[in-house]
Amino acid sequence: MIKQFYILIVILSILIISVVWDYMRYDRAYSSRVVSSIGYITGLSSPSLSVSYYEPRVLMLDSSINTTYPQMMTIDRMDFIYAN
Amino acid sequence: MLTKSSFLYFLTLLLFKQRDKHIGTISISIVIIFLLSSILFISSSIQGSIKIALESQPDFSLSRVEAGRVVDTPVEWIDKISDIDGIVDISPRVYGRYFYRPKEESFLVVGVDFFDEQNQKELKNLIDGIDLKDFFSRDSMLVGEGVKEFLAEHFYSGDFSFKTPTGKFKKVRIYDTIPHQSNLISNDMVVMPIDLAREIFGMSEDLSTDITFNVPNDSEWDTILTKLHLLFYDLRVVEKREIAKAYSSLYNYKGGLFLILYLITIVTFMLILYQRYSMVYSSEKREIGILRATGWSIGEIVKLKFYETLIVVVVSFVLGTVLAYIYVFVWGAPLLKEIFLGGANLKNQVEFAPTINMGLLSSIFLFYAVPLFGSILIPVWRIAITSPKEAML
Amino acid sequence: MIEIDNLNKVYNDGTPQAFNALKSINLSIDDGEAIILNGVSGSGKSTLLSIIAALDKPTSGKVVVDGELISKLPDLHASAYRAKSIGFIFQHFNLIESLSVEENIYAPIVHIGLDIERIRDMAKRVMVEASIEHKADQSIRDLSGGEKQRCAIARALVRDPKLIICDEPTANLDRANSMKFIDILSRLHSRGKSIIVATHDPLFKSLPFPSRVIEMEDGVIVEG
Repeated sequence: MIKQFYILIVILSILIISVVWDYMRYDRAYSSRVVSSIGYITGLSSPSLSVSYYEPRVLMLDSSINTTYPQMMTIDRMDFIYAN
Repeated sequence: MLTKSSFLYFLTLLLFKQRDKHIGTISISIVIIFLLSSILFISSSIQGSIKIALESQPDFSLSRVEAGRVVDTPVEWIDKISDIDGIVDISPRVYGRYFYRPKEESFLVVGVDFFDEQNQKELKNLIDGIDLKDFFSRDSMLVGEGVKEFLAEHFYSGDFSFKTPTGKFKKVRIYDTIPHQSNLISNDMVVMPIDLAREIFGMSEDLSTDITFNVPNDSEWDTILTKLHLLFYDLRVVEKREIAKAYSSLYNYKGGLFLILYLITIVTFMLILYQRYSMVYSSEKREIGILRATGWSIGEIVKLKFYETLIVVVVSFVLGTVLAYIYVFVWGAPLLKEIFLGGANLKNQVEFAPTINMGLLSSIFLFYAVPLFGSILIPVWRIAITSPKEAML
Repeated sequence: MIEIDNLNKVYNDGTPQAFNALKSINLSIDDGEAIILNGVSGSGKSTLLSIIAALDKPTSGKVVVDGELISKLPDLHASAYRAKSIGFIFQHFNLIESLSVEENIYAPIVHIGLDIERIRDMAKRVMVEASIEHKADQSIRDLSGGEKQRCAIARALVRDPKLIICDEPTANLDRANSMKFIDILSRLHSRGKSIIVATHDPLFKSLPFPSRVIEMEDGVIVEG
């Protein structure tokens, strides 16, 4: 095999070894402990979604409530999805 | 010996001498594998972390429903629930969203009964070296990293004043930050003593957000659910197993987002390859014709191109996967994580725990390699079976 | 020894565009003999050469080379026969542009299981013979017509084949290079190689070595 191919193999091997090393050195035990603790203390496991609870469902449409049916959920609000 | 094999020498020589031909395929492949692997890594990591948190969660949470909407749950229900055999660890929960300003950024405020011994123990596990005496000496809270950063941006460094429903402000000390390894769950969290949370939400002592309990014997779960529904007509029970199923389908690679992504990827890939191959077709055809004319058999031509494609596939896959690993687990997947977690509320500095699912990586490899082999080797075989004279024209 | 018996080749057989390129060709070529196939374009010379080299299959008839029926060989055996017994020099050289001179020369033999050092030695030997060794690392794209021809010759000789087949070898060469080519052919002939050249170049009318001229017209042998 030609020299450039050997260099390619070496580079790929270094990349794989680096990834494996990073994977192995990660402190999984501590990370699990922390997540488990917060899960126990709060009783909550849902991911922390970074969502704007009042974001319009239709982009740039920010209308006011339907005055004819004030109880009805308007099309442009997401809070009824994210509400408890 | 492999290193002296003239076939391998020629194979690698052709590969490098014609690298312009392969660079296009490799680049497209790396992008596709990078995207697929990044999404796979993110979802695997999220699933892994949520699974751990879910294990320590109570088996059931029960809340009151009024006209279809969830409302605060009476604490007095706890006495009735505790009469049901098989139920243990019943406790009320107080939590909710606190909006910094109306319709602006919000935090998830969670009230915890820190007089519970197990909660205290877990608190010490969570914050290394926490001084519980100091923590309880005045109104204090633990905040997630996103909250800490947000408050710092708004010049709150040592404490924050919550506006209560009575109109009064309640100053609470920021005791410490929840470790960033749990950012996936705690980024927007504020953890405080349960009474303090009640004060902030204006919730009286006889109310709670919901009630949680455990049922150690899982074969009794259905029975207990039935009993509960008979006990209260206006309740909603959420089971841990339902949550687990919901997360699984949300972040499962067989689910909607992934399937669509795979299909789009494969179709795009095939189109690009087909177009690329029709461009290099004539030079490839001539080269194969020359080799055939000088004594290479059809099988040997196909073998040459097979190994050539295999090297391209392996190189692309390794580079794509490694780039995806670095992007997700070293850089925290900027931009892409917002598909999973959003980016409109607090900034989420999630740290994804490295999780590699070899089964899924193999699936990505097959999804990518099989069409690529097909789209390269089928035209090669068709040229190889043509008369060499015709191929060389 | 090559025996051609009642050879026919029809292109697009069974269609309205059917074309009879070779009609009942009968020919014998002895070992060490030099044959010049003369005829205008379309007379069937190239088709006949392709069939002798097992690059194409006849519609009917037989081609027997050293007792082996090569006109009906399956691909694996036909390729092996081509690799071992035939050195083909094409009209347009048919070299792989992305490779160098040396790489083009050993391309036909890398699949036979020898190690690379041996392959390179074999290539070097024929490069010297074809007087092209000084261009070994040069890309084909940078060669002149004469140099490309010598590279093609070297490639044809790398396995020391018994039969050298040349299809219009001087069509793209000037007179000086054409004479050099004929000189090389002469040396090969003196080593006992059988040579078949398809050409309508008048330079081949007076060769420095004994040869038989076969005239072809419209797919048949009219003379010789």
